[in-house]
Amino acid sequence: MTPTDELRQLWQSDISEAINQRELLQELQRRSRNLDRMNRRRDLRNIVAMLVVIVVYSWFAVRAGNTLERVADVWLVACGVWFIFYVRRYARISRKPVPEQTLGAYRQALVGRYDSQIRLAKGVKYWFILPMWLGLLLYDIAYRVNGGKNIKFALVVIVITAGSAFAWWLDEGPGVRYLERKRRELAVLVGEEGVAK
Amino acid sequence: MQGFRRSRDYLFRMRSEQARFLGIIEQYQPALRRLVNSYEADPGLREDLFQEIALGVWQALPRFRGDSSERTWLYRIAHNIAISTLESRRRRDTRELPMPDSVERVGRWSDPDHVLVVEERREALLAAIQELAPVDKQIIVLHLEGLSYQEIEEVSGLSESAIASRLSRIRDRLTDVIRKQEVRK
Repeated sequence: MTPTDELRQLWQSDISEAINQRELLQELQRRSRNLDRMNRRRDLRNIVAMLVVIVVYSWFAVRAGNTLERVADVWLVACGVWFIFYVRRYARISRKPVPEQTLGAYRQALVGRYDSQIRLAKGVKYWFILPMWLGLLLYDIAYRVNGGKNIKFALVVIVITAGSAFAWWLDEGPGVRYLERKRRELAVLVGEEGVAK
Repeated sequence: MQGFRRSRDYLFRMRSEQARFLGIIEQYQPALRRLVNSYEADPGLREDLFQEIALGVWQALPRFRGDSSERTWLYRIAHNIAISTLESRRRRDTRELPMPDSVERVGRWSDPDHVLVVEERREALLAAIQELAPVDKQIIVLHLEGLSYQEIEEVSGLSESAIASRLSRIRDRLTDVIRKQEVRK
């Protein structure tokens, strides 16, 4: 008997368990349904959030005191919609890849998922924080043009700038570092050679 | 009438998929159990992993068009889901719901002495396989399940020559582990 035969025979001697297949199927169908329901609820939440943003800021835009304020409202509507789109995109790239591909391709896809998330997180400052900051600033300028107080105008500029800077730091610093650490851990788990970067 | 036909066709498809799924599970369950054992050292978590793989097969079944053999398709799914389930568990550190208590388990061994000897050697082999790097583990499990080099290539995406050289190294290592275990006895 060759070593391969011996190992194979030993390996295949493990046949100690069997399971009730009908109950397994029922359990899987239940879990599959739950998963679908969860996805549908998440999509619904996103759509509702998007509608709320559009309706509220559109209402503000209609009732705006001057053109600048209206532009700021429209800008913030666009930012809100863009944010929801961003969240949906993030959720899409965070999904697990389909498991039918080859093991090597799957390993690459698993790690690639983290790479996409890291790229996305690094882009947040351009695609979300900056436009949001500009919209809020525009809103504040409209308030000042409308005859608002200087001190309040200055305070709001400081607050929104500090808030945006904090969000930027959170995203670029701890956020990206967390994703990079998770990527490294995954690379070790699945085998470094399949995921060389 | 057309709606009725569509519903009937859907039900027919569902039933045939269920039958196909049950056939696959029945045929490959021992192999899938062994695969699960090679990834999961904790017996309490093996059932969860087996369920994850079964769920993956169930969800992927409608997409299976026969581009590869059923066996290589199944092993791809099983290994890939095993890897990603371990990764998710490490990330979330939470467990899925266990199988209902009503699920029946059946023991098949009859000779206790034989069981003990084989069990010890198999445990040593399993422990050695669990220690292997993920890629090596996947290749040796496929090899021990009787897949040809070409089939292993289809599953893993590695070339046949790379598979051959890896297998030779892994086999030597595993045989060595078994021999040492016998010497200790």
